[in-house]
Amino acid sequence: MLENLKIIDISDSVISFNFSRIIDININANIHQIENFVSESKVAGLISHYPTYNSLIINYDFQKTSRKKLIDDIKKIIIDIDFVVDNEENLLEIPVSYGGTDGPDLHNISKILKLREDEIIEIHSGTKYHVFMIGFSPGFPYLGGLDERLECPRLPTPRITIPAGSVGIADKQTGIYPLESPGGWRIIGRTSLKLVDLKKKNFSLIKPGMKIKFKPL
Amino acid sequence: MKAFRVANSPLYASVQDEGRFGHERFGVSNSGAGDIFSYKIGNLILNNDLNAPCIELIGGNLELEALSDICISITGGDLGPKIDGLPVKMWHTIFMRPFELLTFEVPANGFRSYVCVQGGVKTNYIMGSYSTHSKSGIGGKTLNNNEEIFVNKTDLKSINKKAINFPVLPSSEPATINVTKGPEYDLFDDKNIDLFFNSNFNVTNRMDRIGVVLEGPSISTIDGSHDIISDGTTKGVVQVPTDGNLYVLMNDCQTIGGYPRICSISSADFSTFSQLKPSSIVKFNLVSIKESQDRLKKQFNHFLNNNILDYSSESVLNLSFGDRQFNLIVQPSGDKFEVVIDGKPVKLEF
Repeated sequence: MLENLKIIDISDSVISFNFSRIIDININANIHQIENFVSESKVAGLISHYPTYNSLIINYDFQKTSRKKLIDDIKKIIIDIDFVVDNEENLLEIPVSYGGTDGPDLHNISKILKLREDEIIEIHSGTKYHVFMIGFSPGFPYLGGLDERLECPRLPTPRITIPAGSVGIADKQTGIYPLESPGGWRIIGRTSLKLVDLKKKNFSLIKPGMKIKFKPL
Repeated sequence: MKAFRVANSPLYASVQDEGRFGHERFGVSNSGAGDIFSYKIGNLILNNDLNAPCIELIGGNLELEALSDICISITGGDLGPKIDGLPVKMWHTIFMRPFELLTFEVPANGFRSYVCVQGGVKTNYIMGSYSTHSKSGIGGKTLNNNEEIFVNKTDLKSINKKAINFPVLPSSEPATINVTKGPEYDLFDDKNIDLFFNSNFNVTNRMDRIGVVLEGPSISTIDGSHDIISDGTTKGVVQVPTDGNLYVLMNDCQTIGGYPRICSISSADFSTFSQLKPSSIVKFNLVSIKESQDRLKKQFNHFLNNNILDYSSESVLNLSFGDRQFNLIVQPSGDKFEVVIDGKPVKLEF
């Protein structure tokens, strides 16, 4: 991984350790492994860290470490890692009620994509998705692996409120709204699984690097 | 202990502390006080924990009725604070009696005021912080009409400190804000970079705790594309969306964004930036990462060395007798002292 590493300063206290110019599941999975090692090491001056598609973002306290020392510390961690191919222990199955009032857009997607509703459900729930990262809003997973046949544009006008647990499709992506929020994705179903719990320390059930499968109810 | 009742519907006031760190991997950004220096000085004046939660008021229009004997400080932008109609001094310890009304009107200088209370505001502690995340409602509290604000009970200490040096508010127009290069700096050609650093930008009223939109000459990337593979963002990042305006991310911003990041505001200048009100003019100046970090270290040392506080040589009291309100100041006069009531010196005989 080190041979492709680029150090990019986002601000005077945040660095992006970037590993690729393209989105790649294997590189992203390696970034999650690096992040695990970083979180277990005691890196001086480290405030927080999180993965994106291609980078590990590090927020550091430059009064407790120097930029150079921080970069060296992280590089040392990366050198020692034996990257392993993803195992499937981290698979989360999410029960989804597709269509009807839970998935108000299933019907119009069916028309746009010229697929029957049950075909859409079969394709959407037949894929294993990779959680690249969580962001945009608290607990919102960026999932990779949507079948090309299900790619479809966003709603022309975003909805003011989308209920928590809604499963949507937009362009090449699929995702779940963990909290009630506005949004322009087409909603095909809804899960009753509580994805975020503010009272818990690890407040999001979905974690970066996990695999997700949707199970039709 | 009850400290205040919110007596109107404020524009936007919320509870904030230093911020929430370590939960970005779940999409939870840092939140926290925008003008971190003024906030910390407010706590310093009261002998509070430096990270004690406070009320951050954006843009004025707040009425707080005291419900107990409390000791507070007001720092940051001058939003015209008054107690029972009489102006009160900012950057000072202020004692309030039950049923006194603290009011803020419109911004005179600056845009965010910090009301710190001795003992610290008591609210929802979530994921290591009392800060309110405005978008999701995680933690803290947004102030609404008729709600009560609680503080940790404390024995009011008779302290009389004031801040003497607070280099936070912009001293002139345009405000010059130092920035470091952002990850997509090179997506802009020399002409656009020149425009960025040699133009004045206007702070618009499209602002909240997530971001501030600046208008000026339209800035564009070399190939006209303003989409990047979504990557990390943090407060102070200056994004350039397709409309060519600048979108400066504030404390409650998203952790991941897809617009080019041209620059990022220096940590040492973020407090000043957060105090700019709509229609303020701002200019950017490029510094290196090292210069940017050194400037904050210098500010911080100044802070730690306590060159910031002094014991006030005067006392201000707001008194009432029947329906009448008095503002009483005791101030030094040579080796004696004099008493001033509502601006008029009073002759004292012992």
